[in-house]
Formats: sequence, C-alpha cells, structure tokens
Amino acid sequence: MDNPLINEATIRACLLGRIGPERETSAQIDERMLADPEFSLLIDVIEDEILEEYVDGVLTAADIEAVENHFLTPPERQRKLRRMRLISRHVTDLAEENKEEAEARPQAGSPKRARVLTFPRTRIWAEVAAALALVSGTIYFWDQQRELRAAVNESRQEAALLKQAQARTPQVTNAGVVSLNLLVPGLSRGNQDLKQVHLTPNDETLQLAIPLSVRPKGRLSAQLKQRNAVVWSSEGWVARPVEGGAVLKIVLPAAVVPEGTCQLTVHVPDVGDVDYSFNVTKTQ
Amino acid sequence: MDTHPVAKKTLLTPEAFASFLLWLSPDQTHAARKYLDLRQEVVKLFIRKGCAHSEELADRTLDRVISIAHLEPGKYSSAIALCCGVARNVWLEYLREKKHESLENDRVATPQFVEEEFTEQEVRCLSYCLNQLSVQDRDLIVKYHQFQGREKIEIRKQLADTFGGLNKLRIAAYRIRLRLHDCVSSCVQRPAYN
Repeated sequence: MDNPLINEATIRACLLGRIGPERETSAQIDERMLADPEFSLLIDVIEDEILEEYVDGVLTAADIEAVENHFLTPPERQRKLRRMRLISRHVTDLAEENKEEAEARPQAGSPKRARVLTFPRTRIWAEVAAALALVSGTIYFWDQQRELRAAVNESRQEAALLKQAQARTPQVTNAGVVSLNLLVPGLSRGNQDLKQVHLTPNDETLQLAIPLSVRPKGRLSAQLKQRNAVVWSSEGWVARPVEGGAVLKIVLPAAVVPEGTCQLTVHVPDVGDVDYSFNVTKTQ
Repeated sequence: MDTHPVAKKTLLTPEAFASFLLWLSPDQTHAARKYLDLRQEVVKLFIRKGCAHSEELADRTLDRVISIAHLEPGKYSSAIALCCGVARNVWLEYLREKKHESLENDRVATPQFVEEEFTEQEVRCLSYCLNQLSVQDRDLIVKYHQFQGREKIEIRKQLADTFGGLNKLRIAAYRIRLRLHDCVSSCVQRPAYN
C-alpha cells in the first residue's frame, strides 16, 4: 500500500486537484489517509500550509487558481481560511498587547533585593526540598487532573457519539439535542398556531431545521429575539441544497433560549429577512 | 430530474445498522465511537478531495458500506478498507453527476474569496484564546507567524533548530493553530461574546 512516490509534492498536487480522481495515486493516498494517522496528520499540516501561503500571497498564479477553484470549495476550508487570516494578521499584535499588559502589572518583590539576599545552606536545601515536593505534588495533581479531564472528555465524547449514532436508529431517543422543524415563516398570531418546543436542564442544544424554497448564495445569519430584544445571534450559516430549495440547520445553545414566544429571524442573501416564531417551555 | 447530486436514495435499515455496529465491536459504546470516528474520517476524505458536500457523501458512503456489510457479513476484514473502496465509487459518481449538472446549467458560480474584515468580537476571542495557551505555545505561534518573506524563513529555521527539526515544528505549529481555531470558533458562538 505504501508508495514511495507519494511525497509532500504529490500530496500537495492532490490537494490542489491536480491528480485526477481516477488515477491510482489518488486511490493510494485515500487508502493511506484512512489507515495511517501519521500520514493523515501530514496532510492536515500541508493543508494548513497551503492556506497560510495563500493568505501570505506567496503562491504562484497557478496555485492561487487551484486554491480558489478547487481547494476552497468545501465550506469547512473556507472557515479555516478565515481563521488563518485572523491568526496571521492579529496574532503578533495581540501577543504584544498581552505581554505589555502583563509587564504593567505590579511585580511581587524587588529583583535587586533578591540578588543581594544570601541564605544559610540548610535553608537552601530545605527550600529545594520544599520546591521538589511542590513540583512532584503539582505533577501528581496535574496528572490526576489530566486523567480526570480525559475521563470526563471520554464520557462526554461517548455520550455525544452515542447521541449521533443513535440518531441513525429511529428507536432510540436523542437526549441532549432538541430538534424543531420550522416550516411556516410569519409572525405569531397566537400560541396555538406556534410550533412548540420543550427544553429540560439536560438539553444542551436546540437544533432548528428550516426548509427554504430558494438556494441561497452565500452565508446566512440568524437572530433569536424575544419581545424584540436580541438574545442570540450568529452568522456564517450555510444552507444545504436539496431538491426544490435548501435546508438550513441552525444549532444554538439551549441555555440562551428563553421561555415563551421566540422569534427567529434568518437573513437570506437576495431574499431578505424571514421570521419564524415558536413557543418555548422549560423544565427548571 | 434530480438536480442535487447528493440526493440519492439509500437502503439503510435499522437492522443493517445494528449489525454493522456489532461488526465494528461487540461493545455498543465502543462500536458507536468507532462508527463516528469512521464517519469523521470519511467526511475528512471528501473535504480533502475538495468536495462541497462532504457530510452527505460520507453518509451515502456509510449507508452503502452498512448495506454491503449486512448482506455479506464476513466477506470484508476491515471497515476502513471497505469504506475506502465505496467512498471512491461514490466520489466518481458524484463527479459524473456534477459534470452532467454543470453542462445543463450554463451559469457556474465562480467562488470569491475576498479579504473580509474581522469583527471586534473575533479579535477579542483570538486574544482570549491566545491567553489560554501555555507561554511556550504562545511564543511559538507568535514567532511562527511574526514576519514575512525572508525573515519568516530565517525565524522558522531557528525555531526548527531549537525544536528538534522542521517537521516537528510544523506539526507543533499546526496543533497550536488547530487549538486556536477551535477555541475562537466556540468563543464567537458564546452568548457572552455576542
């Protein structure tokens, strides 16, 4: 399976869409990326570097064309591009600002004084011993904490995994995520007409599925309001094209959703704002 | 006609899915985790191919894999290998459908990746996320992105020398960026920052 001819240049060519999908090299890269985590990591690194070079403007004209017409097609990569630009442009300035802020804080103890102080030998050894005890204690607790965090993450991941996997088997309930289909846009006329959703303290997210009769070009933004006050807003949502239109899935944290009648305003490019109302009840 | 290239019907049944999970592992939790890892890998595979519908194609691939594994249990030794073959077929079909579709529609949108301004919130989130990094990681990522052109190359050479080689440095920088990316993404979604 390992082909010595697959090197970084080949991977890069593949990522830029220069290796035809029917070619054997393409199949070999696919196989290796699924089977070999280190190879997969290398591809991640090269992907990031392509984005960085694009942001820095150091790619050739042919590479820029390949990046724009092929590499950046997936929305996931477009999001990565935005973050890469953010990091490239602001990371140095921000680090400098943070450093200045830290330096401006009052220092504990004078460095001059520390230099002239001398300690008896026994005290030095006692301090060394105390420092070692502190270090080993810290390492121990850090290790414990790490294990604990790993266990918590694992259990969270398991819960999330189960949740997603069970979503594909209809007989299992879907705890933690509440879904609501918002079919009919329009302002609320009475609570009886409104879609109802019930949230419990265990619910982490509210997933709203909105069918659209158009296929929006570009990204959509959404605002959740109650009595005209915005309680949550987010942008950059992409509607998934389907036959006859598109489906927009918006996921928002359940904690921000207030009880009572809520209005979701979706801004669709070239269409304008579309409002959906629904009623929320909560178990405290 | 089906205008969307990924809107194909599949024959997935709950029984087939349950037997597929069993094939992955007799332990239900482990099987679920393996399934989602597998799905994640397949999604990634399609993204790397430059596909705009990676999630849908991954589902289409897995639905077929599940049906195949259900119909012919024991024929395939590894789910990864089976996924790889099926994903390749799904991808080639998708490209054919897409080609057909773009021939029907003369208008093909050219993507625009113009430089966008960042919101104050994004910059604030980046600052917050930088502060969440360890001092070493923060120093590394700042130096890594500090300069342009010749200076950047020189700095990276120096960093590589102290970091045990260029590849280690690239991987470390990638991992820090990934953490920043995830941190900024979740930070901008947080209501406190909205």
